[in-house]
Amino acid sequence: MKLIIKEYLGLLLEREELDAILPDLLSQMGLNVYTKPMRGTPEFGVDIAAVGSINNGVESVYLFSVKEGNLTRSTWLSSSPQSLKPSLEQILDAYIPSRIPPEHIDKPIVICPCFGGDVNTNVKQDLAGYEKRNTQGNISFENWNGDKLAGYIEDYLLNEELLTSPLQSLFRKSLALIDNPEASIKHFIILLNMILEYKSIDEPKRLSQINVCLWILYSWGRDLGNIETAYLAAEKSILFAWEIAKKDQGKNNKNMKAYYSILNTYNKISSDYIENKILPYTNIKHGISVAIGLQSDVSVNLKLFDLLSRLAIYGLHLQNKLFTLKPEENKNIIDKIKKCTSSIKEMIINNPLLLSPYKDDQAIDIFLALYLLSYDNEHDSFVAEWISHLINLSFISYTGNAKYPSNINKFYELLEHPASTDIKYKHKVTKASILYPTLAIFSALYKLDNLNDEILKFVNQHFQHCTMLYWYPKDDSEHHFYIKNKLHGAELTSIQLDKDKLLDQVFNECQSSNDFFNLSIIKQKLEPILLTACRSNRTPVPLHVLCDFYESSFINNKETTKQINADVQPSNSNTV
Amino acid sequence: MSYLDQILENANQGNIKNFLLHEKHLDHEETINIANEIVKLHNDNTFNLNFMLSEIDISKNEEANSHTIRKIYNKALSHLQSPISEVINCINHLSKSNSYISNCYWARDGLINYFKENCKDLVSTLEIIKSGIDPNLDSDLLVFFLTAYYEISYEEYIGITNKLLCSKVDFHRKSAIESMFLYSLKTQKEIDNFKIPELIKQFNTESSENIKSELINVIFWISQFKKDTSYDEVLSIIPVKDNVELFEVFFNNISHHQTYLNKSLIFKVVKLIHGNFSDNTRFVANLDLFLYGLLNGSDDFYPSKIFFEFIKNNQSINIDLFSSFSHKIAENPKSYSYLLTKLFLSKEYLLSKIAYQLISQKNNKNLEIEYISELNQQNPIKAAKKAFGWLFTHPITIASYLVSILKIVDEKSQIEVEKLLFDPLLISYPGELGKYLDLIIEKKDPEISHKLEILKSKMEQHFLQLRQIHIPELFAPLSHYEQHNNYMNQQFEKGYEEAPKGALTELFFSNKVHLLYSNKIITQYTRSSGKAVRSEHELHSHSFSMEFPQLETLDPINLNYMLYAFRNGEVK
Repeated sequence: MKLIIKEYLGLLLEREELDAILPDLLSQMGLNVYTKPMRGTPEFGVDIAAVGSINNGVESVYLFSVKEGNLTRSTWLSSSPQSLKPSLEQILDAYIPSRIPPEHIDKPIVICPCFGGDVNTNVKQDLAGYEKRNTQGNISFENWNGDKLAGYIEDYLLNEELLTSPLQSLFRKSLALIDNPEASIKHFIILLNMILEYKSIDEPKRLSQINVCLWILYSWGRDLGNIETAYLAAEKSILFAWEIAKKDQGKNNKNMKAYYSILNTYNKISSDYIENKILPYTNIKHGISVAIGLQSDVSVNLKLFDLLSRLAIYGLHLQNKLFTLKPEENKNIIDKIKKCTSSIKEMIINNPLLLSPYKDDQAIDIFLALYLLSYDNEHDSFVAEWISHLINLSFISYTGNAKYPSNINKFYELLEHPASTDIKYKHKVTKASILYPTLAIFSALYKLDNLNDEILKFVNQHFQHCTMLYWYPKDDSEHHFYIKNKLHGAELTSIQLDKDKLLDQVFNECQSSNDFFNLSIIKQKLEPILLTACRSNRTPVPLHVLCDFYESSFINNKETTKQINADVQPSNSNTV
Repeated sequence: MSYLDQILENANQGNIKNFLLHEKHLDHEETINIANEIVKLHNDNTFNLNFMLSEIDISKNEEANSHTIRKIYNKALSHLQSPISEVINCINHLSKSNSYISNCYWARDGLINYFKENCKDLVSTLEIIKSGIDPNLDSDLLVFFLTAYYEISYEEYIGITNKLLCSKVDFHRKSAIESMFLYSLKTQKEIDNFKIPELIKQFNTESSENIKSELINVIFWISQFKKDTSYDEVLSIIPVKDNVELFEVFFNNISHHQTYLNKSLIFKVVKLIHGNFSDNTRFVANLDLFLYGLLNGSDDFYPSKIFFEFIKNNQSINIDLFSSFSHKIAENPKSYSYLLTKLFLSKEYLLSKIAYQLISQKNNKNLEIEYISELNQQNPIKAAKKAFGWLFTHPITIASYLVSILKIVDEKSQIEVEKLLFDPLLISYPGELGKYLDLIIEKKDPEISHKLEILKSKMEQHFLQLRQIHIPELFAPLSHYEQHNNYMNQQFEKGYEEAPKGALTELFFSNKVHLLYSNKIITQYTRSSGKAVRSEHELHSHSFSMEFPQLETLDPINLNYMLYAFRNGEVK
């Protein structure tokens, strides 16, 4: 295990990545971390400061200067302010005299140059000489290289007692299968389940274990050039971890801090995935589709909708972050959201299978994308066109017996679908739908009356057998939302697709089924995590998230509505 | 020994019959020589050829030899001095045992010559023939007789045929009419002897549909020689109401005598055919045969025009019934292109579908066609889209069609065609079409080479861009690949099981032998002579490949919707 951890440490590419794991480790070692890494230049050479006792030693103040990879001549001393030697000098000259908290001023001070790799031979003498010269009084030096860090991580986070042999085995399997994400993630989910159930270990420790495992998985995947497992694992990690952390919802304790560390790791992985693996290719005609593989349209379709919702979730996380920032801080985030939404639009235009859902539950992916796009009315015309195409192509496929949206979930059956032109088969595979209600709801919210009429007409004509429904969280949802191990919530059936009744019906039900507001993740103001749970666990997105949109739709400008309705005529459209 | 010596020797030994029975393969000259010698012996009363041949049980002889005997007799007939009754009996005997022709057409030339040689007995001969010998032969005998009579004296011939036309006996009228059809009228006097109004009158009073259709043939035939003929008048005799039998016989006749008839007139006749002939396989087979013949040596569009006119009124036809025509027309690119263009320009969905069926019948993926602009109706873009809707799975065929349209349309339409060529066509078939475009570009056609070069480079750029995207994270899950392979294998197995009996694979594996550890097969067998034979053969693998259209994976529903709309002519 130590070798795995050491390799992982060596693979960390940026100083921030080592920073991310170190405070957790120190906390788990029993130290009190009083200075955490900040963006930019460290405070007088110190990236992390902690106080406490390691291995029952004397209680000391530990001052860390963190550098990535191996310590080389250039990272030891160069013109860069990030070089180690200047940092150490700052610690000695400025930090120790002025920044040590008064209550720790009499304690021994250990300055810890910290790096994920090793000290290169040609710098060893310089470092040793420097440390020898400056070891005096209560000041001493202790090098935390990859080997030492790996030892501590193994001892304090992943040791046999904490991460038992079966868990370590699962983790190793997940790492070994990293090239086969489908298999790898299965092992990782079992691992998460076991960590979740390991209640004899305290929550912050279990959360840190999840974070370290996720980090290792990510760094390995990144090194191998495939972070698909890491992405899926990150999604599952934030959901499993919330199940552990949620009892402290609303507090600012170790538990929640550990949870936010995982969330940061998730954001790091998600950002890497979206920005490097998807965004550069959305503007290429058929680019993403071809990248998925030309073997079958079903594979392409499933993956495209999956990627669409990943992109949407990324944007929704950013959107949520936007609410927490001051206006002067949010330009970068706004740019990222704009890039994300324009990429969603490009992706839909350039990958036409995104106009033809094959599965009814792809309504979830569509919902998420529409939800993100609904934040900016600049996208209204596009949204109208996309919905129009989704509706028309679904109907055309159904009447023309092409691959129409169905309740089939098994891949093989989807390949065969439609297995028959017989009406009995058609009815069997379209027993119920959230797709058409979803499209009808958004059409109504955007006041796309003609689309609502089309849906109503088609449903009346061909879908009398199909239960039109929508899902609402109930009191049991809190227990199963994040880790879906049981069906939960309730479904509103007999939805009236008539545009005059639909919105009132479904949003009035939001008021009746108001358990949504009691969900711990909503109380924590982490709505994107809830949306991630919907995406990952294939749970319909609670309509409550659209309540504001519903209310604002009453005051929508009629002229705008008219314009959208004019734009949405499929024959006039050449955008989507 | 010379033939004569052999015949004389056989005759002296009373073996002339055996000699004929054993003489199997004779060329033309040999046949004439033998016939001449035999005629001499017959006329010298050495033997009676008619009696002798009437004694041969020809049905027990091999077909080749029966054929030889008939050939010799046909040649001998010209100079044979025999009463008509003997000749007719002999012909009747030799015809009856003919397994593949139940008439005496084989003796046509001989009989005509015989009648001419024995013209002094013509009146009594006519009476014998008119009285009827055998229903299978009567009509032919009378036709040959009349043919001979025409060559002796056409005035008298006219008199006889006029009388025959008034006869109540069907074969008399039928033969009289059929005989008219056989003549090439040279002088004005000859032409004037045949009166169209009379024939039309005959048509209107005729009760037999069979004879009516013969009359139509004759009227058409003679009309061609008369400068003042009004085709409208001639065509007016075709009943407005469907007359399946009439057309059936008409096409049966013209399928055998097509070169005599004016193609434009037949085209007009076909235009008059209304109603459902789709299930009339005999009629369709005759039309198929007629069109096949018409295509031979034809460099005009009449075969295509006639075919189109027919299927226009019989859209539910099973195109497989036109196998001879569809095979032949594919060898004639201009006619083929003309027909396809006409079909694609039609408003009828089923007619365009027939174009697709014709092309699919001809299993040639490199088939090139072109838009024919010599049609009255002109709308190349409409034809392009229709053709595109139907022929998307025949990339080279549709590409060649679009390229031909690119050459003739204005700039605005060119953009439309180029768009179709690029997306979805080139995007779907970069391999096959990439190579095909290279071939056209190499021809350096100033009108299109440059445009195609631009398209080709656009396609290359597009695929270069796509090839650069190698993101393992985006790959479909491995389990999808496995399941998809299983699915495809299952589909191929199903397809193999459902393949029609007699398919190529069935022929290959009709008697399956399985090899497990090698790719060579050793067989041993014993010949009828008792000699043991051993042979060793290496098995070679056979494979074929085809390019699946990429858009079937990337955008199947839109693609199919587009094709559907194009087929129906619904999308602008």
